[in-house]
Amino acid sequence: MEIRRFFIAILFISLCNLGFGQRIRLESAGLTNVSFKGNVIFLKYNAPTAMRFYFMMSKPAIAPWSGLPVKGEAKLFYYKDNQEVVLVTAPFTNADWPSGGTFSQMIQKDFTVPANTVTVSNPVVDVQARWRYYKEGYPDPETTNGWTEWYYASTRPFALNPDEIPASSFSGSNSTCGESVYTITNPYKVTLENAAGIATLTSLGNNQWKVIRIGNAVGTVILRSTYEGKVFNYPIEVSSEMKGTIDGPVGIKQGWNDNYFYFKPEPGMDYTNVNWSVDSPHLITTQVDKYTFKISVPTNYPLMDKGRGDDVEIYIRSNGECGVMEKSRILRILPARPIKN
Amino acid sequence: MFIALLGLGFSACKKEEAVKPKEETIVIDGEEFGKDFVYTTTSKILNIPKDSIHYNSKTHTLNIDYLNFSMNMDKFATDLRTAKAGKLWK
Repeated sequence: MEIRRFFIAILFISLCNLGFGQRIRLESAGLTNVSFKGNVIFLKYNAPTAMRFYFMMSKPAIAPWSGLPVKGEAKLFYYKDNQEVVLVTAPFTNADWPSGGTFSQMIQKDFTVPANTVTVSNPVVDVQARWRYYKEGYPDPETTNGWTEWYYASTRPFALNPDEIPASSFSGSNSTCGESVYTITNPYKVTLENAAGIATLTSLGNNQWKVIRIGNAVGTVILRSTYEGKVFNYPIEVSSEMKGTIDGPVGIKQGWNDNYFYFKPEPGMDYTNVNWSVDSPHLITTQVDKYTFKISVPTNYPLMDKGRGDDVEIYIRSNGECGVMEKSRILRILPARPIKN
Repeated sequence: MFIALLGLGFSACKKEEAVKPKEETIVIDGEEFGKDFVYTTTSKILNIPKDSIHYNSKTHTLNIDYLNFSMNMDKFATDLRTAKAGKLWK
C-alpha cells in the first residue's frame, strides 16, 4: 500500500459557489503533513494525529471592500451522534489580505486530532470545512450587522490507518485432525483461506472461532484476520499426522538388543490407543509403554544390502477421535561386519 | 598577454548580451504579465515561498505542489493588475 506522507493536501471544495449570499468566500482549503491514500486522511490508532489545516479566502476587490473590516473563522468538524465535534478553528481578518487584494494569504494552523476519533469499530469520520464572517457596515445585500450563517465545503473521510492497527494474534493448535478452537486477540475480518474441501470455519463469538476438518481431507488452511488490506495469517495443518517426534538411534547393528525409541508429543498434545510397529517381520519389538518402543535385531537378520544395510520404517499410530493418526521414521539395520559388495 | 585578456573579456561580454533571453510572459485574462512578476506577486499574496509556486501552461493554473493547490490563473488577474498598477501594497 502506497502511503505518501507530509506536505500533501486534500482539498475541501467549497459547495457554495452560487448566489450572492457570501461575499467572503473560502476559495481553497486542505490539510498538509498528513498520511493519506487517495482522498482518505489516515489517523493513528489509539494516539493523537497532528496535521496542519490551511485555507485561502477571497473577498471583492472593488470599493468599498478594501476599506471594510473583515472578521471571520473557518473550522474543521465532524458529526458524532448528531453532535458536532470541532477539530480546529482558525480566524481570519483584514490582516490576511494585501490592501486592495482579492485573495488572502494561505492561512495555516496546526492542530491535533484526538486519539480514538476513529476506532476499529468506527473506522471513518467525515470531516467537513465551514466558515462564516461578521458583517459590519457591509454593502447591500449584507446590510444587517452580525454573523453570517455557516457556509459549508465538501467532506473528506478521516480513517484509521491500516498500517498502525495492532496485529491480530492467534492462539490454538497449529494442526487439526478433526476440529479445533482458536482465540484471536484483535480480530478484524476473520476468514479461513485455502480451505475449499479441507475445512470450514464457524464463529463461536467472544473472539473464538472453530475450524472443522471435512472428512479425511489433508492440507494447510490459513486462519486470516484482515483489516483494509492489512493481513494477519495463522496457518493450520489439517491432517492425520501425529504431532511430535520419534527419538532414537538412526541405525542398529545386527545382534544389538534393546534399542529404545521414544515418541515426544508436541506441547499440549496427547494421544490415546497408541501402538507401535515396524515394517520388517525379522525384528524383535516390544511396546514398553504408550510412548516407548524397544527393538532388538537378531544376529541373523537377513540384509538385502550386506554392505550398507537396509532401511526399515517405524510407525506409531493412535486411534482417537480423528480416527487413525500416524507418525513414522526410518531406521537403518546395519551389518555386524560390513561386507564389501 | 594583456591584449589577449582584454579580448577574452570583450568576447565574454558580447556573448552574454547575445544569449540574454527575453523574459517569459504569461497571458492572464487577456493581459500579458512577466512570469517572474506573477511568481513574486502571488508569493506575496499567498505568503508562500516563491520557489514553491509554479505556473502550469497546459492547465493554465497556478500550482503549489506541496499543498496540492491548483487554481485557474485568470482568477488572479484582478490582483495582478492591481499589483501592476502599484496599488496592492499600500
